[in-house]
Amino acid sequence: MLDSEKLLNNNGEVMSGSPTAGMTSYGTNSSTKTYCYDASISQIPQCPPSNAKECDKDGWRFTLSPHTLNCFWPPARRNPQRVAKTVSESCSMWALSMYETDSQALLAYSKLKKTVRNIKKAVGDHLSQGSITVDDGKCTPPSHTGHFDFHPYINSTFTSSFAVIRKLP
Amino acid sequence: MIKLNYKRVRATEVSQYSWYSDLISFDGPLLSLYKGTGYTDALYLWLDNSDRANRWCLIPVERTLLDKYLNEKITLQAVMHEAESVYICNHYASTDVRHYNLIKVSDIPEEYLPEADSFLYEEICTSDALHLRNEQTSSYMLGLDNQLFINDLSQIPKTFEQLYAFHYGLEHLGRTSVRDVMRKLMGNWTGGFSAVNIFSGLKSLIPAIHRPEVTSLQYNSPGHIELNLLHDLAQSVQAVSKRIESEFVFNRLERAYKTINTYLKLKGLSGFDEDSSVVVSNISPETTLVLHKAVRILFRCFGWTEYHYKFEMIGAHPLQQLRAVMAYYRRLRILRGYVTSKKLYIGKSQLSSRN
Repeated sequence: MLDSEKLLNNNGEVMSGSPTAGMTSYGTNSSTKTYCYDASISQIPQCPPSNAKECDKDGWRFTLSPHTLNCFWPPARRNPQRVAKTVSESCSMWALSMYETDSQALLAYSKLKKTVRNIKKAVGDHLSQGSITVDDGKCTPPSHTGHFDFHPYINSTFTSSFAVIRKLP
Repeated sequence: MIKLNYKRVRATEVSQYSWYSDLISFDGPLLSLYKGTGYTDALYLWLDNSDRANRWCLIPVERTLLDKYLNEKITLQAVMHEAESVYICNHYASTDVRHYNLIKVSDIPEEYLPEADSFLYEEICTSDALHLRNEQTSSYMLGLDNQLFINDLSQIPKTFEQLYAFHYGLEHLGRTSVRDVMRKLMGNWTGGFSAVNIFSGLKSLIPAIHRPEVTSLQYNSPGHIELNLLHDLAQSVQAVSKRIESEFVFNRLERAYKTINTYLKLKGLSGFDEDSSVVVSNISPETTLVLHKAVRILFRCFGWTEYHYKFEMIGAHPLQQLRAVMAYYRRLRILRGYVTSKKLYIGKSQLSSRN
């Protein structure tokens, strides 16, 4: 999927600005802290979940290199979508997947690849690191694997802090 | 996507499988468990995609093998090789059309095959997968004794399995697929409900891996049916069965059942197992309150303290709760007949070497 999307963005455009680039803007400004995908997630009960909090921390995310527009798109924006079966997952499908540490991301990728050989086509083949601040959005608590969902606010500039740090094996 | 040497099959060939839970997920499912109505469940593995479609592999897997995979004892690659043939599904996202194709595992290209150490690692599996890992089936006895006819050997396990399925449904409401079936059976989604017996629908609730499986059958008066199942659920049937062995509790239940039945007929709400339907919204608040109390009485007789909350969780109307509990009681009463005549011993074998 990412490969085909890469073709759509084959001008090599690097994702350096707001995550709202290429997104539909849903009305309000950042001072009201409206979510990027507010029009969609407001249709889902308890989305983001009540335990999602604003936070200052680093995040590690699977991407392509160089970054393309869709490297910071949630799965629900990508085509063709893998089916979301549950409401909570539907909410999660509007969030950006991240890991708490470099090692957790590397471990997850290496283990995913053992079962899903084509994983790079689904999630990318590079690891990027960046910072998230309380002004950027809300993070769910990490799972037992260190994975968390990040729901960005509209006009957040968090993507500018993300840089590719390595190619994944 | 890679061109494959496969043969198109009808979707009905795989219609016995339906989604149960996701085992590995990242930005959506990558590996899911599909429950089967026959002897196998299936694993559904994401392989590839194009601009229009996702490609998946449906791998039928029998119970022992699935249990080993869930518990990291064998790899997904080993599961696939054991299957010999699997189904490739091209799922077109915009139309939701799925094309199924049969392929020999030996014809699957290396790019699609899981690696030699493709275990279900804790670092990548979902919380549902971890719960499944913790649900271990074990041996359970239905002891038999005295004079039995051949229909008894069909009636006893069938009734026991139905009660087991009822508890399975209520104890697994945290799992979306189970909750959806329970809601459907309880009519929450239509606002009314079909009067088709809830117990005929419950059998589709349980994946093969959790269904009671006969592991041995002996009968020379005494004897037993040895089952492999989820012990806690069988214990729930055993506990309520033990409770109504008491004449006092049984007589109380019989009186309550008759009184409730008379009330339902009076209000035009009877016809428990028939193909009629009742629109819940037509039931007055006063009648709803009486039905609610009736459910409470039956729950108390059964010794159930948490099930009322679980019925509320699936949004079941008190009438449908009552129908379900009365249907449960009718089946429990059948088992009681065998227990009190010392033909059936739930949870223990009468053979000296077995418990």
